[in-house]
Amino acid sequence: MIELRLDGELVLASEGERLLDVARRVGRRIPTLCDHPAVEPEGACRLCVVEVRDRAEGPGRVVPSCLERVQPGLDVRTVTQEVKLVRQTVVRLLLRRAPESAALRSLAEEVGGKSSEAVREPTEPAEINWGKSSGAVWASEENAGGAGCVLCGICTRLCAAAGYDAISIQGRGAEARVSGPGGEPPEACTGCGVCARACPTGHILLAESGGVRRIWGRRFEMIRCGGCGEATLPRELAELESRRLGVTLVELTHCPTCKRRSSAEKFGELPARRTREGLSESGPMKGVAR
Amino acid sequence: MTAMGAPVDSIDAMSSDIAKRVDRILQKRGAQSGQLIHVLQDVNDELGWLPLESLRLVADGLGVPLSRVASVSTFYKAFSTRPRGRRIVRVCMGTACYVRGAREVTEEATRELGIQSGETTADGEMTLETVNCLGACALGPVMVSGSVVIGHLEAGAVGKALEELKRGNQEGARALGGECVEQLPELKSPEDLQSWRNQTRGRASGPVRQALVCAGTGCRAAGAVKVSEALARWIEASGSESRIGLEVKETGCHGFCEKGPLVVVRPEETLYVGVKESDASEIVERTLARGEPISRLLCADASSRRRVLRWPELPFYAEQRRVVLRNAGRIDPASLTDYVASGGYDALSRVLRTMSPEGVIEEIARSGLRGRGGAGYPTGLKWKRCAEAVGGNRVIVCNGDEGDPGAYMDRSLIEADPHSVLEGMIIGAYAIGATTGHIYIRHEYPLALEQMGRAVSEARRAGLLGRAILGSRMDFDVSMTRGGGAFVCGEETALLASIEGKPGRPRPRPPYPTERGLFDLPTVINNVETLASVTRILEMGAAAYAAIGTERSKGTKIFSLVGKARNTGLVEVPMGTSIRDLVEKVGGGVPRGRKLKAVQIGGPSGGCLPESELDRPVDYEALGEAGAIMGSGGIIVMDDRTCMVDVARYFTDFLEKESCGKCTPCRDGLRELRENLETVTLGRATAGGLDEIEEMARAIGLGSLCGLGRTAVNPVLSTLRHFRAEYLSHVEDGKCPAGVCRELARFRVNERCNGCGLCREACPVNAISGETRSPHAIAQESCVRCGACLDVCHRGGIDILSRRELEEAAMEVAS
Ligand SMILES: Cc1cc2nc3c(=O)[nH]c(=O)nc-3n(C[C@H](O)[C@H](O)[C@H](O)COP(=O)(O)O)c2cc1C
Ligand code: SF4
Ligand code: SF4
Ligand code: SF4
Ligand code: SF4
Ligand code: FES
Ligand code: FES
Ligand code: FES
Repeated sequence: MIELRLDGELVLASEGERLLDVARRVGRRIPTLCDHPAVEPEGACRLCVVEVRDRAEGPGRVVPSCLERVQPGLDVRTVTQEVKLVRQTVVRLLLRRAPESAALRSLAEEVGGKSSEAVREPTEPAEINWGKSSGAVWASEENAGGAGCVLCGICTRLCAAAGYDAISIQGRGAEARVSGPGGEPPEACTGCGVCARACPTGHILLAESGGVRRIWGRRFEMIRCGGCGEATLPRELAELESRRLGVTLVELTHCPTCKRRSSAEKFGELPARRTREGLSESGPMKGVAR
Repeated sequence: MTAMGAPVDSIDAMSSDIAKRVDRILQKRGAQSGQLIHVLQDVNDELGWLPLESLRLVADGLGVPLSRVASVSTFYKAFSTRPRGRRIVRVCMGTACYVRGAREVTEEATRELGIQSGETTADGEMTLETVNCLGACALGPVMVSGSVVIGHLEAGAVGKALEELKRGNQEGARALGGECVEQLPELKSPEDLQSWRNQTRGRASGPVRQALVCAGTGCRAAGAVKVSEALARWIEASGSESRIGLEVKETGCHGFCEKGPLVVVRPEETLYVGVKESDASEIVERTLARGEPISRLLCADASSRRRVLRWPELPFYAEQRRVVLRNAGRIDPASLTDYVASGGYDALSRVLRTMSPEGVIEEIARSGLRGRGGAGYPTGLKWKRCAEAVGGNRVIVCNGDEGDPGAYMDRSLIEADPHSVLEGMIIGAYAIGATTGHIYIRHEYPLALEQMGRAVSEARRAGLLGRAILGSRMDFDVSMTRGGGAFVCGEETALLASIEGKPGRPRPRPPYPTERGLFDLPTVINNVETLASVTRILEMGAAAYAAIGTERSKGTKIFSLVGKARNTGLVEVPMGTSIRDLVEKVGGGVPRGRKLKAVQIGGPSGGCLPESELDRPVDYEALGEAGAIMGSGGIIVMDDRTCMVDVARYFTDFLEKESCGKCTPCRDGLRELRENLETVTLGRATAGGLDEIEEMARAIGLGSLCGLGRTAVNPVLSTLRHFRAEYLSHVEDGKCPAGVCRELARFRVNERCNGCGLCREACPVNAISGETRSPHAIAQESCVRCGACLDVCHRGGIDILSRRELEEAAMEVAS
């Protein structure tokens, strides 16, 4: 057990615990955006910052609590002038990217300050014109949803953790964007939909109708559940996973309800085997084919 | 560059052609995922750009997901995602070039070619690109195409220069004198080294007189290679007896690039500057043969205008203390023999023979050496932490990314004396127990890459790298990586990602590289100059080194003194020298009778110091207190024609473009900050605007992930602190006192005009009229506010006004 100080109170934490988890455990609200239970933290959005001091009188450091681990005697303050300034600035900047995002709006409300007014016109990502001198269409864009992308990297990290590596962040700086390689619909995409469901702003559009799922500019034929006939998994994904996991296609494409009935539990935790805990919750089956 | 030149008949033919060419590269490089960046560089060189199809081939060939290949290839500036023209013309927009008019050069090139930067002319002939620094800062503004470097380029000459390039005038393109393989002994013990040294020294005392021609990047651009060839020809042609004992040798950069090509004649140490091919015969006949100086080629002291015979007497050199640069300009960087003859590898030999690794670390700690890459972290402590880290193998990395636009000490050091860097690296490897090393050099430095490449292979051949170095139990070898053109890759964790073949995005520290670095092994990353200093410290002893400098900053530091100073170049001075001495004594002050306004120290994330702060010594802490940083040692001198708001905007714009895009404050905050600074330069900011700028800057500095974002706001915060009045003048009076911000500045001829007509000739748009010897006038409707007239007028005959002031003046005249 490690003893540290959190907003003046003494708290106990276990070795290696993140400040974010400790703070939440004792009831502090800390806003986060790029943290996701299924993948390693990246410290990208900087919303979760707190101020820490190694010694009570030492200078403060502003650090992301999703990355920083507990240390004996650490003095953590979750609300200071500096912390507020960073959080408010971050939310305001992110709102420029995705003004419509309900998640960001409520974060803005939470951190307060000037951040709740949308100060500027939204930022449009610049074109990367691959191979053409002008006017190229960023193909994946076709399928991006309404709200802007805040480059939190959750989708790309999840996709890589699931072993598909279909999309990535391309370009650098403010011009970076998430996409299939070269802006084309990603060939390696299996249509699993994990990225779309995890995206905090709803940037990635996942549409399903008539037994076809569309995502990232690609179309996937859906396999229907042998029990009830509901569309469950894209054929491409089901075939790949059935090979990988050594489970029959039929077993794999039973819908959760029918499967629960038929007791096979394997399939609900499909990608969870290759990632950390938590993915099964938002795993490929959830929310599909309502 | 093999370009997309030859038209290809069908798409199919083109595809199979691409496949073949990519395949060849994959075979040469080997199919390992760690080769990703190297392979992409080769493909980019081969095809001129990276068609999506080639990425697919690379991904398949290396077994890397296509998404990662796409991510890497869109991260680095060196890769092109569009076809480029047969000839690529790059204009430097680095700081040193910017303050000397690169903006005008770029505008002119855009106008001449009818395309924007990044575009290709319709005939596929030329692609125009802007780059961040070519390491030829003393020659700024600089434009390059292939190996042709055009320095001191004025906007007016851009058209002509482009013409020349179109005609294919590639004279500078010649290779670096054919690869001549010299017989090197295999050194199996310290005794072998010593006896080789004695031998070569005997040989070296041979020539009666030597002409040392600087063939560094700067002097090459000015035609040094031709000079050295002509000298060799004339020696050959001169009488047989005089030929004996005469020798020409090409050396690396002396630091005085602006005056290049430089020739030094030894033993007299006579320095000739601005030497031309046509001077060669006279130099051979008079100076080399008879020791007679040629007065017209001597360098005039910038302030006294006296011609100086021997280079050590020039104030530019006399005020310096060349410890690390000891060999620069004196030895042939391409020759291991020369380095050994001058005492090279003696330190290594002694270390291996007589010192324990701990002893070396202690010696470095005692010398007080601090990292020269920016942060000033004590080198001994860094080594100690790595040596003590858990883990088997260890790695040492030499950081030669030098992304600071306007600074080129690392380039110059590698070009002039690569072995001193390599020797320091081997010593470091011994101290921490590393068996592998990596040298990372940015791709904009082709000559440095070549010199270091040769140094490594010669050292390997001589047994100074590899197994059982000098007969000891030490095994160590290094490999080289060519950087991809991203400033952030100089940051250590991004650098490591880049060597591992990933996009150069920094990762949070801790863990520090000394615990978990390259491929998770404990890693020491040191700057080029740091490693060269290590060699010197072991040569001269820690105590002697620590005797130089201040309480907390020891030894010497190389600065790249550029901008509006009479003498620009690389200078090495003891720590603790005052900035004023650097600028005024070494730099010879500000030219053209202008006033010194500010000095920017520490690279793009350094701070601007006003005149009143210049008595500060160069010392890590003293600079920090004033809001600047030592950084890597770039010093940019600014005169009263520099607008501090524009400077802040320039650096913010630079860093915004170089942000890796990972964390919000840096990626999006710098953009908003730049937009806000722009509103100031456009005269559209409100009174509250400055507070908003300051607040945003503070948030970025506090909240960013890596050093880039955390320090990016220094230029803004330091100019707000020291030059607030100038900001206010923009905001409240709509006036840019330096006459730089085009929306605000208006120019008017005043009563001091004597009608000399200089301004009339300088104006690019013929906006000035007037008879010779009678007062001139500016037609406001055609003036594009370039400020050229202001720069040429000797008499202060042109006023800088705000729009309102101009109107008031016009009314006064009318009434
Ligand atoms: C944005 C950024 C750019 C950097 N660029 C360089 C560089 O070009 N060269 C360099 O040696 N160090 C650079 N550094 C510093 C390195 O991260 C690292 O501290 C240094 O290489 C360590 O070597 P030293 O201890 O010998 O100074 C940079 C740091 C940051 C944050
Ligand atoms: S749907 Fe699945 S495979 Fe496709 S991009 Fe999203 S996470 Fe990756
Ligand atoms: S698409 Fe969504 S999940 Fe992916 S980076 Fe953008 S905001 Fe984050
Ligand atoms: S501070 Fe800038 S460069 Fe550094 S990680 Fe963040 S976005 Fe990337
Ligand atoms: S009159 Fe205007 S356009 Fe002409 S040189 Fe002067 S500032 Fe430039
Ligand atoms: S949640 Fe911690 S930085 Fe994004
Ligand atoms: S060469 Fe232009 S700034 Fe260095
Ligand atoms: S290149 Fe010759 S002095 Fe620098």
